[in-house]
Amino acid sequence: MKTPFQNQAIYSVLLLTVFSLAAFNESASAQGIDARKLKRGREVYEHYCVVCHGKNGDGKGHLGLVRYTIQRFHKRGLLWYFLPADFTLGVFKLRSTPTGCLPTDEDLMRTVTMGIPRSGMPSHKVLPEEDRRAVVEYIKTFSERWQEEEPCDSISVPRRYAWVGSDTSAEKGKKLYIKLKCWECHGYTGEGNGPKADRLVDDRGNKVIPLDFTTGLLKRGLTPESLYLTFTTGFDGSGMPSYEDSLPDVQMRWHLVSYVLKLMGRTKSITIGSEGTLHAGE
Amino acid sequence: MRLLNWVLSLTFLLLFFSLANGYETVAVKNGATLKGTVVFTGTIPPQGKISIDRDVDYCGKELKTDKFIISDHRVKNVVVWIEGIGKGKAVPKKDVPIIIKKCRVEPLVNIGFVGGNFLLRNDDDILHTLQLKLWLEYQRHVSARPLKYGATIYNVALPVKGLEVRKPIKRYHRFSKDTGVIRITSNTHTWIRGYIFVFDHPYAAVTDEKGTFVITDLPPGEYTLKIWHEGFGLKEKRISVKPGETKEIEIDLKDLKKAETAASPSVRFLATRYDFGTIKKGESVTHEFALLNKGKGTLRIVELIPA
Repeated sequence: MKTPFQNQAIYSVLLLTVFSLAAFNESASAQGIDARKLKRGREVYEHYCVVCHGKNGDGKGHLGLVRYTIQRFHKRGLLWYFLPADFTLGVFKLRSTPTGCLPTDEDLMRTVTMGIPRSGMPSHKVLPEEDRRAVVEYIKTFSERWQEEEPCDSISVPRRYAWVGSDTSAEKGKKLYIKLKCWECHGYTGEGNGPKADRLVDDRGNKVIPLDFTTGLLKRGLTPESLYLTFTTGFDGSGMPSYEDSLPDVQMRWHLVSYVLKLMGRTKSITIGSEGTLHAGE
Repeated sequence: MRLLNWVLSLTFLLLFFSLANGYETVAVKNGATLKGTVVFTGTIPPQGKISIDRDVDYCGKELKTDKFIISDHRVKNVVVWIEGIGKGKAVPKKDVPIIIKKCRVEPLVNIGFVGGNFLLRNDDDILHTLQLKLWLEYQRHVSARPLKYGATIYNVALPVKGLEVRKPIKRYHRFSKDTGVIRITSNTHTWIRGYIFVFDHPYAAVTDEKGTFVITDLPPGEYTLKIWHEGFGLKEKRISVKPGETKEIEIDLKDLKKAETAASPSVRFLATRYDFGTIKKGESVTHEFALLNKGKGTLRIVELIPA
């Protein structure tokens, strides 16, 4: 015969099971997380990513034990330090979404797939797409922010006008470059040596330096579209702020792109990665 | 013992569910009004100064910190809120102004509510960039790389005078035990600072020049009032309000104890159960066990038994 206590125990166990199942189902379906995908993501992460980004996702991997993994001498003799991304913050630089938003899955996929020029992040194009998608899902488990909010909609980059990169457009872009005070950090000549350039810090108080356009490579990739997105979305967690609200006009944004291309000496090669252009007036 | 474990688990699970649901809006009948004055009767700390080395022509060479705005013992810019209140009147949807004027943020200390907006405006003729940074308490436990003021939640350029930018206040921005205060910083002008506390309930206020605050429509009951000031830190006080009453309280920051925070020393037993066995009269037993100090501060263990 069962004692009342045993009965209560069985009830508790049953109730607990029901609640656990309910909780699991709710969270699993609500966030669309497939346990198998996460498991695979973890395997991929622990094979390819952990060496730099660390087991806890804080960017202190095996290489991270050395305080700075990558050092680079800037043209002007500045020493440039940086560590791999810390996923525990839930803050991402390379997004197509407005400032203050999480990146979309596609944004993360792009970074995982293409890597980041001017940094230690390599391309992982060789991995099957399924694995890359799985690791993106796993990266989202490092910060609580992913449980609290959804990524916003991407800022769409309108099709590029045919005049982007032209001298007239660059001339208009130069006026914007001065009016919007891009030069205060990036310098009049675009060499990243403006009067405010030496005080910029990231969320940890570590120094960051504005891009010297004359060195070429962009973290987001070489297309004019990536320039358009960079000043529109801003780089959260770094010095580069979002100009989405202060430069709302699409044509003006493209003029600014033209001028930056000119500073980079790339006005002739803008067809790289081109997805079609618009002609003036369209 | 096993039964107790299960019951405890179940309680925690239920507790988790109730907490996860957040704030609930209900009609408040016979709500109480809490009228308070925050004072400081100790010696007022000296008012610091910040020397400025950027845009000196516009901003001037020096600014007052305005950390302690105390007149007649009454303290301005103190944030007061009811801790962990689960239900009550509707949460207001309002703009939280963050205005930069003469190279400083106005108001220095403010509160906001989930669902409202941050309203950023530049009243100066120079470029300001603003970074709002949310302190992440949880992050300290999972990352070996400490934050300075917090993780960026907004990074906005305000290059022209008069430009207004609205950005939504999200649930993630709220003050909780896992997060913290939002600090206003500027990469272009490092001295710029400001503080915003975001709540998912409406029972919060900031004191004015006279050190006063009012919290209305408070459901009757016992509460913990949390009190924060930039210079005096986080403190707390227990209060209770009766139905329909207008309660007037005076809070002296000098007398109040510091509130427990994750940085305070606190004990975690490394095992959940220590079995000392049975001992007969006259016998003694020794047993090793370990304690972990979870906080930042130094922990001094004075007495463990019977406390």
